[in-house]
Amino acid sequence: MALFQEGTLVSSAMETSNFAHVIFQNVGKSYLPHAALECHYTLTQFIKPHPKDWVGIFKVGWSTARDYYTFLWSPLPDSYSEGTAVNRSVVFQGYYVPNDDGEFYQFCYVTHKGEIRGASTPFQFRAKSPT
Amino acid sequence: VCSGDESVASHFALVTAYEDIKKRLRDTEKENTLLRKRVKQLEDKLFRPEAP
Repeated sequence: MALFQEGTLVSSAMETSNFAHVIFQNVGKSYLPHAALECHYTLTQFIKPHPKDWVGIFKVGWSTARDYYTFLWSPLPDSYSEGTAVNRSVVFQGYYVPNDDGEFYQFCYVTHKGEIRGASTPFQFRAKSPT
Repeated sequence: VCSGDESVASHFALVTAYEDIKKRLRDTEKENTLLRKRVKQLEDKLFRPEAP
């Protein structure tokens, strides 16, 4: 975390909280390759969802929001009142998810402006012993 | 969005992944130690049976 100790980026330490405005729930340690993958997440009261927000699967170590492996638009809540938390989910179809390639991936929630507002714990795609 | 914010976001996501994988490595090493011990026990039982 050396980045946050640099004087020029002191304000960044506070901004990190922005990255937890969307919380991914029950993320597995691994998933089956080429199988539908359900992704559950909570939009906390701190985020105002937009129809062009999206959830992407990113290889760990990505550097820009354009590095996504695949993505889905995040569905807007049916009845949404500002300032409340809501649970959402998207299903990535099997033919869009990565193969068993030994890499680690994570979900990220990206706003219509391209801001990252949440990142999940990492997972792999493995043909055997899914957890 | 300015690239500075994006680089902080990218760093944050990487730290999140790193911390989790580090914990998983610790758990896996613990299990590895237990499994080694168990194999040793079973080998001892199999190849060094007690004298009748």
